[in-house]
Amino acid sequence: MSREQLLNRIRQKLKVDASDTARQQAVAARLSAKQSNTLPQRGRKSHPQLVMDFAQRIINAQATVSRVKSLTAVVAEVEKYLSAGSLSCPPNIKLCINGDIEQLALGFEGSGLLNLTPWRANSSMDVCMTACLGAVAESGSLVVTSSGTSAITQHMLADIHIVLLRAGDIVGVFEEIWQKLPRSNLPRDITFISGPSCTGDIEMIMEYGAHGPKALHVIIVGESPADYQPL
Amino acid sequence: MDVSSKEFISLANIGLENENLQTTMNQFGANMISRRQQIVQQLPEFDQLRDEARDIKNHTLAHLDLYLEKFEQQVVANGGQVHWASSEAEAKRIIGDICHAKAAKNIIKSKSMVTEELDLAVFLEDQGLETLETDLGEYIIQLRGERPSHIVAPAVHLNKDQVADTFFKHHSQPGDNKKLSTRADLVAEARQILRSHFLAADIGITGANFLVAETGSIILVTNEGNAELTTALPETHIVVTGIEKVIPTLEDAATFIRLLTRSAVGAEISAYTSFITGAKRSADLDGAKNFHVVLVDNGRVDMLGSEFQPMLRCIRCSACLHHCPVYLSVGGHAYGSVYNGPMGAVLTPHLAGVEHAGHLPNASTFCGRCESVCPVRIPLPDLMRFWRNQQTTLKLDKPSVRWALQAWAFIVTRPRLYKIVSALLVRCLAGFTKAGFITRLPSIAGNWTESRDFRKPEQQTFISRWKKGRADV
Ligand code: SF4
Repeated sequence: MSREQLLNRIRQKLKVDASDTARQQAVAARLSAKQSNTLPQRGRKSHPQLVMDFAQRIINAQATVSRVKSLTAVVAEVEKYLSAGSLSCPPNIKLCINGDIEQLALGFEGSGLLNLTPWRANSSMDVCMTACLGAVAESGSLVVTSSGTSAITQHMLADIHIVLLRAGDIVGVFEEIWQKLPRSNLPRDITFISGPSCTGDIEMIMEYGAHGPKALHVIIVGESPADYQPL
Repeated sequence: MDVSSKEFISLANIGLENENLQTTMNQFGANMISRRQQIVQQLPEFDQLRDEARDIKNHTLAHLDLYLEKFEQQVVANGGQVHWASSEAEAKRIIGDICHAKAAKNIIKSKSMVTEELDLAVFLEDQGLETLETDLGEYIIQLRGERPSHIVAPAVHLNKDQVADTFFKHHSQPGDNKKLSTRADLVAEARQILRSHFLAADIGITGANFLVAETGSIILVTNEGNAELTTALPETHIVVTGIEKVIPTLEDAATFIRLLTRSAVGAEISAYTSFITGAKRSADLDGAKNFHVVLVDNGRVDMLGSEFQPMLRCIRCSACLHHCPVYLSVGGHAYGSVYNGPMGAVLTPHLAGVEHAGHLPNASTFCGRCESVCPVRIPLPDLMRFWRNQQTTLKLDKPSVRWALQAWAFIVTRPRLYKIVSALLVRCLAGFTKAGFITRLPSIAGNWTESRDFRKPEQQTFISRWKKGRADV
């Protein structure tokens, strides 16, 4: 059976007519209004508070967070993170960076931290550092997207994932992320990352590093914008 | 959909006598209920969001044809293809054809209840296509040749040692003699084995938690990240999903995301929530080049315009399972269907036929907790009651049950008779009381006391106390 038959059966069961313009208008109006439903109060705070909330929530989900004042301090921060003894990764690990990070020219080239083998779409990595579109305070989620400078596998295949997040890109609620995206031309993949990969499938106790990164580290750069208006 | 729901009573007994399962389910239930409660308390708008979610779904279902058309249009605009499948057989044929056209050999799957409903992995394996589940719980039960016992946590019925046995049996090389003993090691072993399959796969199959009509996006919610790898690594991505999953806009999606994981596992959000829109763009570094969505009816259209339309609101969160005393006692396998708990008791008779659903609509205490936690406010007890009615009308239940019910109806509709019988019963029961409890009853009443004790009944009936004076009651 085909598309037409299925759609006709739906209309039959609903006792409606395909030519009913009132229905079509109702749907068109609903789609174009893009009306928000109830927005949680927790997402409507001052920007500095939202930054704190975001950090606290993603830490609760077993990610780690550090804050630096400016982009120039990022390389040193990454170096510090990778040399910290607490990581469950082998010594002398090398770092991959994605195109978004490369474009920022943060000075990794001279640091001796970079992986010698360039990233390939289908290989595993020790550590990969990526940027993100922003983050959502209400749920403690980073938002990453696929593009020519950001592969989803770069966010997913490394044992350790480091994400660079500008404080100014942190918003209160999910709906504010939609405003940062071209709605009529979305990236293929928009992923909200809210902690390292985990599974509770054995005895309902969380274990980390199921299929994605075992560890997630967020570096928040800069201060909050003073002009932020919550939705 | 293959069901063995007619065996409910014997399957339930197996569950009740399984000590492992009883310990596991006891802990699981208590845990999930308190986790949900805590997380819901932290979001004061939660009940308001539930009302809105119900309304969004009602609106979408009333305009389902139009929203599906819009969704299709957007998928196509983003380089994808939409297929329409009325039946299980048609869905399988479409999916099989896509796989064969790509000369696929290795298929990886992310967890999806619709593919369970179709028994898709078995079908593809029969076609000579290696099909591997990648959600850890699904992977475990696939190795064991079992069915999911829970719609979100498919291996909840197993403990760590059982998983270790399964892994040892399937993963160990000749000469290995040590079973893994920690959860961390088991997870690491599955990660390592499945990673190589991810990298080699040519087709990835997922379900969808929601479809967004406005953008043509499908939404996938996981903790493990397997859905992201399933959609980013293989060249072809097939989404297999029910037609009822569509919602209008990205704003509506935000509302449902707020409800889903809170209801499902008592968490604010899952580790990964992905919106996948169409095929790989030309400049993209990864992602499936071929993007197919198979929209499955398989009995769903028949619910439209019927008593069961509200059931199409279901977002498969499993909150009703966690709050069902019957599910928590007998375990998911007792239902003999991929859908279990209260939602399964409503859906299975519809999808498989009421004559095949056996006791499922009776597998309820009608305590109403399922409805009270359902994020889209589905009146589950009412719908189960409808099936009970159907079974009696169609004379599908045992004659003895029907006679007993008729006798009961005869008595309760005659107040005088009722007074006499109930007074008699109270006195009779007093005779079986020992130390404040009734632990054994004769004849068929013995079925009841076999697995539980009664408190001793009051000395007199409510009516006689009422007569003596209200203050006393
Ligand atoms: S019926 Fe309601 S509570 Fe049960 S799985 Fe569906 S949405 Fe969740």
